[in-house]
Amino acid sequence: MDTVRIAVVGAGVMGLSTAVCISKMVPGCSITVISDKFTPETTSDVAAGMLIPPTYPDTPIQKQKQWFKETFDHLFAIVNSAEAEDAGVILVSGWQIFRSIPTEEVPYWADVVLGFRKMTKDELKKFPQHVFGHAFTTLKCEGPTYLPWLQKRLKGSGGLILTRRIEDLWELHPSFDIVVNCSGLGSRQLAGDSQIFPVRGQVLKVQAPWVKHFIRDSSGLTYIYPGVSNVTLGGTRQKGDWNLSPDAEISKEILSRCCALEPSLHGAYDLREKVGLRPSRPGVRLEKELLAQGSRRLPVVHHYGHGSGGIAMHWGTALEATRLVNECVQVLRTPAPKSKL
Amino acid sequence: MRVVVIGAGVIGLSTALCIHECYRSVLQSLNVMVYADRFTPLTTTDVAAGLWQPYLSEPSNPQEAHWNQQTFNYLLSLIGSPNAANMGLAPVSGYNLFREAVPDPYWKDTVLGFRKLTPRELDMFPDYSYGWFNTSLLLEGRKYLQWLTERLTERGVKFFLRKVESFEEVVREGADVIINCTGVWAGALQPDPLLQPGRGQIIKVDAPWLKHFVITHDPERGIYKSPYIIPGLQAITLGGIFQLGNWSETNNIPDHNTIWEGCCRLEPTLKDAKIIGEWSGFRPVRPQVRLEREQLRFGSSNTEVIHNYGHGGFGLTIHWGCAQEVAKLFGKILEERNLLRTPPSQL
Repeated sequence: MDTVRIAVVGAGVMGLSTAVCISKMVPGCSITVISDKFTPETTSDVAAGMLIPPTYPDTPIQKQKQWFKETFDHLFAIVNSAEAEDAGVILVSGWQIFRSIPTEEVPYWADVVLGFRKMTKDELKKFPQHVFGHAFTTLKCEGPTYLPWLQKRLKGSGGLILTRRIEDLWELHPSFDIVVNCSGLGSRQLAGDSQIFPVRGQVLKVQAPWVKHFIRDSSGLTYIYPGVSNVTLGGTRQKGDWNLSPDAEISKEILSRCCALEPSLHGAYDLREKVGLRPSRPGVRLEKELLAQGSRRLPVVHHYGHGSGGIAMHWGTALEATRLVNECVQVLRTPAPKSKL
Repeated sequence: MRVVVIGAGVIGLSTALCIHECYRSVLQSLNVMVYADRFTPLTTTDVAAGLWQPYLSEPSNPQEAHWNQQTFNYLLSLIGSPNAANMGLAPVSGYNLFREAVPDPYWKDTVLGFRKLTPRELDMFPDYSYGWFNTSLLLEGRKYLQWLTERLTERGVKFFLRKVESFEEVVREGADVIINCTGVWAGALQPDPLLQPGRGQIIKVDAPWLKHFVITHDPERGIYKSPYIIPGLQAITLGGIFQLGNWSETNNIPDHNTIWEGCCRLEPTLKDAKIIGEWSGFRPVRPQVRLEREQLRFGSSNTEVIHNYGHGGFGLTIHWGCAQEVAKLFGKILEERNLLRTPPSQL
């Protein structure tokens, strides 16, 4: 059986986790991750990595729940192992608070996270502008630690990592048999996908080690996410904005909103500004495409467009992408019938 | 009116502050001084992990339950302040773990969001089959004592490093009221067979990925004899030692191993944690807190002592309720001596 040569384009959380998944689940293949950016310079490195999923309008809820559950269960197993610190996964409890009672009081992911319940009146007293809330325990998966950990696992199973900027997927032909496209926003160019657009997020990563709980305003605009070595304060959701440079006025404004929710943050120190462009799309693009040019064929599995739910959904969608890769591998290994092409 | 507070742990300093806050405005002659042979970071309070959590069983003196709750409510009211972390105060959530079902604790409605653990949460702790989750408060001893010291200094309260050998010596210097907050060493000033050291040893580590407290319980072995992991503002405290009657202030290796093995079993990632330090301290154990007035006669002088010691392993948990009670008793003394023309401002 010939080794199937797989190229994964993109080394953010999607590229690396898909590569690791393939190495575990698809026998007889070689994997090469190719990207122009690696940790700590990917979008995944800016994300706080909280497992609180968004809702994708174009994806059935059951599917989203499955992806989230698979990701949560996978990371939960890591957090309970001695590897948790190496992998950058931690357990964190906190509150999601609402300024008005939501129509859907219990979100679809309530039974995936731990200990989900409504906040008590006494708990809500801490947030005088808010009238309703959820209390639960979830996971945080930190890009700057998780991505190197994935890279190490990939290399350990024989995977290769190459630094190169791909301008056209055909560059990978004929060196590779299958391409897995995890290029996020890069798919605008690489896959000609006009449905994907940036939603700019600016955050502050600060020192405030006394903050042990997450606090998230239900709008998703203001949040405080304590991590291993810093607290992420956010944020913004600027549609169509490609600007990667931090804006000082926005930073002041984020700090002010977060201090309103957690006044002790006035004492936060060592503030660092970061910007990430969420690769947003009405739904995640998870499908096969057979590129054709003359007599050339290049099977591609697209795996991108997770918007603000990258970390939260990554393992579930990586598993599905891996299944699609397996299908491509099966096709390659099946001798072609000698009929028309 | 000369008031001498003996002891500069959380009990001494908070009581001094409470008295000063309540009575300074109505008694211009009020002069509060703190005498102690140990100041932060060398007090018992500095060794405490700093989690607000009373013992599981109801106290024999029901007032203690009330003082615990008063303390929690007082601290909670300070949570919205920008200065909370400077005081050493922050909310913290976590787990109490048991090997079998137990009744809910009497303080379940004092803490926030108290509930039982779900099966998936219990999966995280294979040695335990039952437990609670709740949000409580962290009040880190060292930071709080520094903060109390600053507040007292602002108010002109003076501190004196001295080892008081007897109440008499303090009386002869002209003290009108003595507040006895000498903790586990109270027996040196007045024999108290009910007071014993409950020696504890703790290891502080750097493990910033841990955000929850995890406290295990073994009813057969008794309180604090089972591993516990309590995050502080920066470092994490690991413990699980309680030795009644042991006056050894040095750390010992068997206890270190007990703590380390027990906590690593609970939380395997601790194997990567850097040890910052190790300390021993004596919980001032007593069947009940001694909080009462006593009149001393030395020669012709009549001095009041208010005892406030014997808070076991719940000093930080109960401190403010006790301080307020002492302030009440102090107020009575002032009334009896016709020193109060107007009622005190806060009680």
